[in-house]
Amino acid sequence: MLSLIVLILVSTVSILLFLKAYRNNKHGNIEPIAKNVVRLYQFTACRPMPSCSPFVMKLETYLRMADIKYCNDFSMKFGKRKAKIPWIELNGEAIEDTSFIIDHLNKVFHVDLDKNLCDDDKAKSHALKRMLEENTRWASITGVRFQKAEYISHTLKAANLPSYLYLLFRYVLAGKVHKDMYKHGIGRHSNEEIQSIAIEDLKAVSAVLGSKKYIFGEQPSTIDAAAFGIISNIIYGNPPESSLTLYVKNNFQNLISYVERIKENFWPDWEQRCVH
Amino acid sequence: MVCEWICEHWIISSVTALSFLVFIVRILTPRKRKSVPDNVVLLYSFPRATFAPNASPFVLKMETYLRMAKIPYETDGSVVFGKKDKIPWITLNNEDIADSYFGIEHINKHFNVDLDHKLTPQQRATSRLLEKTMEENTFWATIVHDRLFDYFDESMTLHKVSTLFKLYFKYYYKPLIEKYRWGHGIGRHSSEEIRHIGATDLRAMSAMLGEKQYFMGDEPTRVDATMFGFLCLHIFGMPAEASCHKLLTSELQNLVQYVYRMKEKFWPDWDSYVVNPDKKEN
Repeated sequence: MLSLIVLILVSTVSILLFLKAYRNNKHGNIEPIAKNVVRLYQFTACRPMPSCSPFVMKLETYLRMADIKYCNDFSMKFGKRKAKIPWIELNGEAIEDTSFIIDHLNKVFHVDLDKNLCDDDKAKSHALKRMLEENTRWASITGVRFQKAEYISHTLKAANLPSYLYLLFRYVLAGKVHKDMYKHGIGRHSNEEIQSIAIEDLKAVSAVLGSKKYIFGEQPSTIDAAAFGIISNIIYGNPPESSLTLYVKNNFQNLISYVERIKENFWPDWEQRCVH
Repeated sequence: MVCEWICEHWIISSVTALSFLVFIVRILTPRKRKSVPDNVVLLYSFPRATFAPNASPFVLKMETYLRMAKIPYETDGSVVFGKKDKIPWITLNNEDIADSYFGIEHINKHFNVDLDHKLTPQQRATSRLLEKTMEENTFWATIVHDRLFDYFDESMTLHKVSTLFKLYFKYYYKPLIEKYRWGHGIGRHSSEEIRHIGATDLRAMSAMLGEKQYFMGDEPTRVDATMFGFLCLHIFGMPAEASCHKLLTSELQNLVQYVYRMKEKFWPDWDSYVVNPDKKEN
């Protein structure tokens, strides 16, 4: 009996290791990329928008705003150190986490989208980024898409993944997401409380934006990439019938126009990038 | 056969049986809750610390807020966790509210208090950005990281933690927080990257305070409760070698002066809430 269990365990582990090695090998033969061109690793294309990940949208929008040459890799390869997407490779060096990536690219390409901001606005930009990325994204995106069965189903379809993965999403991935939210802290609140947190955050963003074209005036700065990444995902990437998306559409007109503006200026190929 | 085993291993059997009995007794006997008069907030917190009225920034935030809003309150520092499995939480007129944010919202509604009533919508927005940045990001990058990871031994000494508790922190609590950090996201970065994240946040906060008396101007508002609760622990509640402590005391003088200003205004009785305060120069 014991030997049978050991045999099953050993074979399962060997199969998994083989699959991992095969997958790594498959992606080992990537075409070489030119010097100073960023290879952006992201999720496969989605239905309602180019990417249903707020951080992918942030990073790709930033690359477009800063006019940095890049190519996309949709092979779903996760970053080696931090196990997340997006991440980049530039001149043979891998960098993970969008904030560190943007800092690195600013240095390498001598880019500074914030050069016209005063010190107070730079500080505000930093705080706005932190709120959006460490709080709002949990409450308004992660917390909504895995809330109930219909939303999980929508998330799967939006990500253009086959429907036979539904059970995996519902019972494994959703569980992991809820555990992550619990560990973060925000997962301890009820769904209504989480929505109220998202609304208060978005109210703050809307107040800071006001009637301006971009967060800090006529020209886009780094924060606009981050804000666009998150708010565009709330509007286009979330289930359209979810109460938060409806609330945003009915109450934050300036955020809707802001997202439309950035979409028009920096994503003229939006439709081609979506899966139909 | 089982009886024989138990008799042979009587030490471990009796320890297991006793622990089981204690566990059952604790589950069955309902804890007697401290009672407070109507319209008095009961704040469940951690015990008083040796370097500040509390070692938890969220408890200090809540308690400072109650003082700012002049709301009558009592504390229960016996470590009772709320329904979201965290401290602090409050009871007001027999209603329990967990989480400092929702606690303050509830208190504001009940007592008709609004410390931000003079702020414009843009200022309220700035206030929220600061609060969320501190609580959802800076806290992890500075207080949690320096206390539990970079300067664990020094923190245990500062907090005067007993050997037994030190084992608990080192072999249970620290790995648990390591998992929490990974789920949060910040735990995926290297130590140096985390310190950088914390430093950029603190510098941004220093820039936003500037030369003002309080974060939103000449009068304290709601966000000052959070900012004070967290920043005072950077100064008083961290080992001297901790990077966040060194950054504040060497470079961000306006934040240090701000902490002392808030301490003098809302905690004139600070020393009476500190357990055997150290006599070292602050």
